[in-house]
Amino acid sequence: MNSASFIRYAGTAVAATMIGVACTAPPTSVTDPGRRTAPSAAPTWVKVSVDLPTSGVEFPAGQDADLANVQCLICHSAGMVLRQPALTKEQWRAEVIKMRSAFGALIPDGQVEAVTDYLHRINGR
Amino acid sequence: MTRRDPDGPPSSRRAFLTGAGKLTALGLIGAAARSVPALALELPFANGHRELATNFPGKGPMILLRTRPPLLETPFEVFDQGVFTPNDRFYVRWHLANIPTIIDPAEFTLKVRGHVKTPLSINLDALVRDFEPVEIAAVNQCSGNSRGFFEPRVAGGEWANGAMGNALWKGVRLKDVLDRAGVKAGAREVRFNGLDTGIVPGTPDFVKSLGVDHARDGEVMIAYAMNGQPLPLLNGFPLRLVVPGWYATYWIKMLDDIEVLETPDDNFWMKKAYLIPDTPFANISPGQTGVASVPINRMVPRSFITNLKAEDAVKSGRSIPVRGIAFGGDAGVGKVLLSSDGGAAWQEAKLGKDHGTYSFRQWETSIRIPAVGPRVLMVKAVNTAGIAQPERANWNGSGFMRNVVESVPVRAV
Repeated sequence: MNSASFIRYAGTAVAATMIGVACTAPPTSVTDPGRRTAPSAAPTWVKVSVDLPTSGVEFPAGQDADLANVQCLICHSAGMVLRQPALTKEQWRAEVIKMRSAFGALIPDGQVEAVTDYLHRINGR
Repeated sequence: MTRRDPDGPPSSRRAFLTGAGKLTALGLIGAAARSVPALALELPFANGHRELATNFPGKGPMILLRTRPPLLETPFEVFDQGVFTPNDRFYVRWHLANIPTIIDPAEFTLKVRGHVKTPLSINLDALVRDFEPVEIAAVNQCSGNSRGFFEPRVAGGEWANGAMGNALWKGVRLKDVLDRAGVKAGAREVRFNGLDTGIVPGTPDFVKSLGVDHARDGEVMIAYAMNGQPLPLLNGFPLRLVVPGWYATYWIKMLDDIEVLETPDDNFWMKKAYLIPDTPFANISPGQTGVASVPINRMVPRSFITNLKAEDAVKSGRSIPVRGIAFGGDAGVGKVLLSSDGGAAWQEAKLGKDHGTYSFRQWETSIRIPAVGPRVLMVKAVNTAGIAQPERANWNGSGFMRNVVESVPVRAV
């Protein structure tokens, strides 16, 4: 069979992935590892310093949105919550309780139902 | 990688695209890289609206699932561009938000401790210098890849099919490092930890364990390079565990601590999270209870069409090239079968170069659709152990291990 008919991407695409680090190894073709010249070539380690984006997204306004903003955004941005499928109140409650019991969220006893109700209001079924 | 029309018309920069992976125009992506934010897309399930993020370090345009800690999906058209997934398009999945953003390799050490004769603290130069380098091509796939397609839907990271990637990993054998430390008799498991931690004290640190025999099988490796370059920070710089054939939850990023255990690991991430029903393909019925659960482990085969997408128009009465990728899970790709009539008849595709048991394998074939009208293309991989993708989707409450035969409805015109 003619493997040349399969699409390949150029080594330059790989090189473009560098993030302030460098290898002493020459550019290599990842499509043909058998032709790599120096499997023992040692990387040159360079200090890496990056900025990770922050999210300015808050939960949609509404009753008890402030509770969600205070409690949920401590550990994670809102995106994954807002991208859930519509969940039942029981499913949302299970998520809130999981955040407390499994992940140590500091949601007080008295706020579990309010946060559950809020999440169900914004994306419930 | 060829970028067509890299500038693109200005109007395209705000274009909203609909349908599965319709960001096929690389020109649009090129434009997105210079105008933030530019593009969004609709993944083909409810609440599937996503923005493309271009502001993560070391990353090109990525489907944004969560900013902090980052969940970034590979746009599906990337898988049509080569058998290896470029580092700057490789998906990203972090559990805990305390991720170091400054890593000085001169100060980084990998510890090996626990039930060993000689605890080790290895710096990066010594790791590279003192152990034999090895390379392996292997697919890294999130346990929950494709969760968004589960029906009924389940909570979790709502990925389409892009929480996977294939890279050529280079590093050292875990076995060699463990042998240097000298695993004592009676060792049961080996636990791996990275530099990331939770925000609040009650969050269990993200650690995962492998059985000691698995850890010493000579295939599990500590990678310091990915596709010929140091790992992007978001993919685990400077070291990442590579567990060929197993789901990515075990591939600990920013690996800095290896602990040999005398007893089975009972930490949260092994005993409570990442559990699957102990059934073939982790498949149960919604609502089914009383099924034993086990930690997720080996991957199962999958295959995808990459050059056609849902609702594409194709010419009838003409030879149509169809190509894609497949992987065998914990075994190689045995064969890839394509159907152009909704699964009634199947033809075997030609397989591309074999990069090794655990790699993506490209495939290609051609079809001819005799008459105009809707058609469903289907692709099915059978791995070298004889395991085929199921024609009915598996289901479990965590949204793990989806590997149903993929269907792509097209219109012959």
